[in-house]
Amino acid sequence: MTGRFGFLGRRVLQLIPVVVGITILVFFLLHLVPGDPARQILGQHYTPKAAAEIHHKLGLDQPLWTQYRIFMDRLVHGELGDSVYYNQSAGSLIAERLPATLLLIAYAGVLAALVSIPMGIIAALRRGGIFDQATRIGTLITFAMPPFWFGIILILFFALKLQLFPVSGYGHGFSDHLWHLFLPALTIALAFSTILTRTLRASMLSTMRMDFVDTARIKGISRTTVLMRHVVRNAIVSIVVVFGINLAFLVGSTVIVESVFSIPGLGQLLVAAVESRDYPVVQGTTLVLAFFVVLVNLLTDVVHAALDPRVSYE
Amino acid sequence: MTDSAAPAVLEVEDLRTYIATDAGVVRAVDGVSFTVGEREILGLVGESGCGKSVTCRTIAGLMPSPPARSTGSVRLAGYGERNLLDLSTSELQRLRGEHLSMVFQDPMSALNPVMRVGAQIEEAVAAHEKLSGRARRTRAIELMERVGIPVPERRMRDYPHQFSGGMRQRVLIAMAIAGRPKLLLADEPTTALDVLIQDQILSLLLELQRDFGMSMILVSHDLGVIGEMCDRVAVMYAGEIVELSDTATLLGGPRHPYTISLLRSLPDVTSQSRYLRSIGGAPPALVDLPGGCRFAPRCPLALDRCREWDTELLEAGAGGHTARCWRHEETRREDAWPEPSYESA
Amino acid sequence: MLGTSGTLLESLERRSRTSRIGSGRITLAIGILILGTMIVASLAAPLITSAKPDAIDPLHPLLHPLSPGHLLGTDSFGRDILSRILYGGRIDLLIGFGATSVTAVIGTAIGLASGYFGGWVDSIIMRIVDLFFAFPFFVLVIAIVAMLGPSIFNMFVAIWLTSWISYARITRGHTLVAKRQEYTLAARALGYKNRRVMLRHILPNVVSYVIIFAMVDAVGNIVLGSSLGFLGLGAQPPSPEWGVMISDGQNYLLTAWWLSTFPGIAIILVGVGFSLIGDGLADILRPGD
Repeated sequence: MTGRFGFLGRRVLQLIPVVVGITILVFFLLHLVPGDPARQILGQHYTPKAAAEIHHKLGLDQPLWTQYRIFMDRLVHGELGDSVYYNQSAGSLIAERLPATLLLIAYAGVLAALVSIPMGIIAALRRGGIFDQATRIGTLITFAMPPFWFGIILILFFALKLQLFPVSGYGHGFSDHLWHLFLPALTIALAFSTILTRTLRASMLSTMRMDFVDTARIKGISRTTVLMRHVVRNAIVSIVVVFGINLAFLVGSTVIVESVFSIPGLGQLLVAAVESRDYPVVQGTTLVLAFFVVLVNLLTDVVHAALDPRVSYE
Repeated sequence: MTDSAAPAVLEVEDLRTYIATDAGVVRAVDGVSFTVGEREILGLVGESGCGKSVTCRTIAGLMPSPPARSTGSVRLAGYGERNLLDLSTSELQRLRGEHLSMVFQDPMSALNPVMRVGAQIEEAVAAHEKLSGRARRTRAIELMERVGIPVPERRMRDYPHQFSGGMRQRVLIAMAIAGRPKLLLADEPTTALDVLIQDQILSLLLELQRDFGMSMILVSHDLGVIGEMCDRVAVMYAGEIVELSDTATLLGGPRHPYTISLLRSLPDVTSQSRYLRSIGGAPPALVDLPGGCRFAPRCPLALDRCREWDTELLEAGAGGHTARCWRHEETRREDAWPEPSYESA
Repeated sequence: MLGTSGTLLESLERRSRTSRIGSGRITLAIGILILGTMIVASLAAPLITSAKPDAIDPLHPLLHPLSPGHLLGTDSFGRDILSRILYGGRIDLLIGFGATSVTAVIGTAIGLASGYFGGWVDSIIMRIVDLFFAFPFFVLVIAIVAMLGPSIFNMFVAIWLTSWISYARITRGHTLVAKRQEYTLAARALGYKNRRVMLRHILPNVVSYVIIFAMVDAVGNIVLGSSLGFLGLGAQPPSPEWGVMISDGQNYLLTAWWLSTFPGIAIILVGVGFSLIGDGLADILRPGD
């Protein structure tokens, strides 16, 4: 048991340089802006006085090192700077938008698991069969399918033609949220389940070749027990790992899908901030999404360790 | 212990297992026949890739189909007149554990890495008997004690990676004997282990075989192990049995040139050093087999007709000693063997 | 005896003949056919259709597909959809090849050096790789485009800056393996220069992994490029870039489904082409994996 705590501790320690690296990367984003950010923000309303004000607000009138110190100092206190466009702090804007995004990601993750776990298992069991071939062609197409386009097609059929789901928006109250987010979550889930299905299928096939599966079969237990307790149980470990690796992809898809379905989440905020050159909000959103990925990766590591006893002893 | 003396527990006749691969059809087992008597240990010996393991796996119904396919017949006493190759999945399930069981070569990969050892043994215990959780646990602990695992109550809760190689093999053996099978297939059970541990595991297997009155097939590439353990030996080469006899006769008076070469390649046979110590060449690829005797390309005694026609197993001595060689009567004469040549490697 | 072994052989030989390498060749051929058709059609666009992609025809907006002279219909400005898709293909295929090839070369070089020389260079590069992997790639690309300003060139820059990472990681891993192989050790023992050992002995063993991944990456880049076009952060209207076209059509979903549907199918076709080539190459180059 101490082994597992030690493992968790080590993983948390390993995160420190990554977290620091993320802050540095996000901090330098602002310095990518060609020329003067103030000129970009103000556009036609440019006056030296207004520019100086913006420089001060963004901290650009300080030396680089001081700027980073101020940035970090604010960050530790939970401040992400003020929005240039909205009369609000970036932090509070993000806090308002975060729940919709989190719900959408979780929803999509659950749907993807519901779709891909049975598909991956059946495809592996009936390897080379009709279902396997269909799955292969299906994943080939969904992999190349832009999520925003699939979202639009879903809107066309299920929202406009059949009128089963709303075209856009987030709704009020949890069940309403689930109803509104169904099509967007399905859009993301389909893209995500491509990876999960393929991984699970491959992992099932390699697990089925393992000696311990023969050991289980020779015991004289039923096929279903061999399959569920030995093959699937081991193959599912790889799904958790792949889920962690591709989480960033999942988060990326939500950004664009939120725009398609007009969901008031972080993705929509990010795109809107890009259009209005609201640099502090871009920085803040990027930072929060990156931290989120790091955090969930830590979580998948913990789940991985719980599922695979060998991990903690590496 | 010859065929006629003991009633056969297992009868294998003209067993063939072919496997479709990218390179072509591999004839892994190609027309193998033998019997295993009651309480008898039959050794299957040969170089790696000669079809010993596939033979065992086919008998246990473990060969994946596709790509593998088998013909011939495998009959087990106490399991009617049914050919085991024709059994359905659920019939195989009833057969396994209770009538036959198997111990695998690599105890690390043969145990489920994410399942506690106790649970894996309990699973074998519960396969053919409805038992309460408590009874299952007691049986599992008894089994662990029986195979010599110290403090079983505590070790049950450990995972396979927390066990040493020898202990893992004991766990596998405990699971294999859980249903008191009549026939135990041991596929190179000590190859992956340290030399010192090997002897312990072999004596354990011998002890269990005697106490339970099991029959056993022991697969090994090590003639030393075979000599210690087995009543009879079948020597396999390129998917075929080339010599079959009781152990003493085989080790004392081998008739097939391959068996003789194998014995001479043993390090402790030093008296006949004028002959080649190792067998030159490599076994044929089982995809593209030579016509005639399969050993002919490597055989120092091969004649033209050996390369053209193969033979069946021929009577080579008393007590069912057979060898698959035209010249089995000449092979014991020293002058039949050519002068040693100094081959590299 | 011969009879049983004969039928057994026969029944299995058919299965054997459809080997992995064989099916890989078929997959590859289909992939090349699909992608090749798309490339040729885009390049030869003026030969296929006389309609200009940006020619506005206010008298014939939103014509249905199969209308005379407009096989795939027209958009709200009366522009020919087929023509826009063919000309837009030049942009999207350029994104696929341009973004992918540059990052593949840069990333492979970095990974090769990192794995071969090891030491502190390797540690630093690997820390950077870890860092980028923690980032949601798409979010990072958007953030960089946001800072540089939305344009197709800045989109290229953003992809170049971020997606060499995967190549570096793949190459480094396989370089570490190849470095310990005997042929490499022999080459080093013979006193060959580092550059020669890296290019002649290690790179050939690594390059197949890079090529196979590049095919997958190209699909990702085309989807990414069209996504940015869709969001208004990549190619800008009135460009016939496929993402932009889908975005244009979004307002006419109920009345003119074809505006958004056809460019999406074009993206899928190109993506499937790349994927099939990647799968086929994987079967041929790495049949053991």
